[in-house]
Amino acid sequence: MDINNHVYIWVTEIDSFNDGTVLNGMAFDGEYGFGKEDIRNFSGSLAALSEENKVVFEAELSTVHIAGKGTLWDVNVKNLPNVPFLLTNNIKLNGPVRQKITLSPTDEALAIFQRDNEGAYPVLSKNLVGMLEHTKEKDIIIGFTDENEKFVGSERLEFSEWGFEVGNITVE
Amino acid sequence: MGFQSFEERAKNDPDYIRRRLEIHGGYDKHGDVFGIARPLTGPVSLSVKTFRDAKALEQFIDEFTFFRYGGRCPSWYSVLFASDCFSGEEEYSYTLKGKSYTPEGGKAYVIQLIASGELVVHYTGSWIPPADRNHHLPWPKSSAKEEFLPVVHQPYTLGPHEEPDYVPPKKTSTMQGGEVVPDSKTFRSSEGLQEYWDEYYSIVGREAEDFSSLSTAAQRRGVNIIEGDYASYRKNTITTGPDTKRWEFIEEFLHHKVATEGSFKSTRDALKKELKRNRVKQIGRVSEEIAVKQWILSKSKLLKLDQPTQAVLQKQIDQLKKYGVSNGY
Repeated sequence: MDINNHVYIWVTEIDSFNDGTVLNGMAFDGEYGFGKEDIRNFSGSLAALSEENKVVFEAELSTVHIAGKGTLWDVNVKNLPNVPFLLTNNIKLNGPVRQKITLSPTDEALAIFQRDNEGAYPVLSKNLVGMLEHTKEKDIIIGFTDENEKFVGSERLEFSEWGFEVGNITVE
Repeated sequence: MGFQSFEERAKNDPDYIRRRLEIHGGYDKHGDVFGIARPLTGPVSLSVKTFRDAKALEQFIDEFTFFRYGGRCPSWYSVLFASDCFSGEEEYSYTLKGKSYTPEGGKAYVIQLIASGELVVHYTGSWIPPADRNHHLPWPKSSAKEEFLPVVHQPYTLGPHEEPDYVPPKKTSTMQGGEVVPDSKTFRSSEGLQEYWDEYYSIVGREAEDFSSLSTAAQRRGVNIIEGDYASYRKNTITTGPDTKRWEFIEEFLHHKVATEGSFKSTRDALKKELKRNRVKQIGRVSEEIAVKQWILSKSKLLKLDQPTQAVLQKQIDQLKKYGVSNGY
């Protein structure tokens, strides 16, 4: 899925900040989550997709720097879903599908998994954007797809910000 | 009378040196006065040269390094008779590092590197008494650009860590619905994060430092300053907390420059490659954090950073390079 020029942020923390809301999480693009280098704000329709619901709202999203936390995001709305959720301006996106998978990692991906022991990684495939949750026991994809697209169980998966292959997956 | 060298003219006319001194002066890379002339208190005519970003400044410094001899100009004599030092006057241009440089506007000036990352050039011409020569004197209060000059740190004071109600810095936590929940997904461990912050505050204390001059300077650049719970930068506004240090204020100002001017672009790009190679998560955000801290650390002398601050900055950089921003730093 092409994430260029689109907002894709996996939100894992919410905090109030003055008149807005501060979000922490992971950008998919290796930048600030706006799909383009050095872009730091977006104004328009955003969707927050969680396992509970999908909320679409008009908002201004920008970056905020907080000492000891780094560069986070600031959005001028308060009623957001419980974390975690995907924040995107691709409001046609559907999901998530939470799917246990069997992963055959590449050597490089295996080295990362061994280093981290367990972790969550933004990933992409042709039809999917999502999070890969890896533990020693299992691998789970939390996937989002465009309308009319379905989660395909034998896709090439790649780490979205590093741009190399995770490995082949099959749906259990 | 034929051509006379500086030396000959000085020898024949003792007052010539004094006149020359009046139009020479400068600051070294670290913000210290190196010359023997500087504007004294009282009105001075200033003209300011600024640079669009840190890269332009660094390029300027690289091209016009005004110092040799271990970073300091050894004597007033070398100011007058050697072109190694950065100084200027109306009638001469100097060759520095193989490049010809004519002082801006062709006038006498001194030059100052300020903590915001800008280089400022002050027109001046005042005489400094011999007793004050070669002292590391701060820029006088009369200067319109004194705000970012570093101040000499006071001796370390023991902070409230020795008080019974001392609360150490917070550990990384997840906030949901207003409740602080300990982070249950510490994917990769942090090395000594809590310890190095405890150590830092045990030495420097938790009191805020006086950054009123920094605030004034930032406000003149159109940045809003407000008080809050902690240091932050958001939408052209720097918020300060009750324990914000000067270097933290400068850090937020530098994040403002990154956000609005794209500062440290080349450094950030290089860091991104390094972080990507090492498979560190969130390379864009982490690279900005490191670039800013590296800049502050590289200007330790200019900013008069004490040893504990330098140490904590280096540990933050090490932490960021290894673990990113996931677990705090």
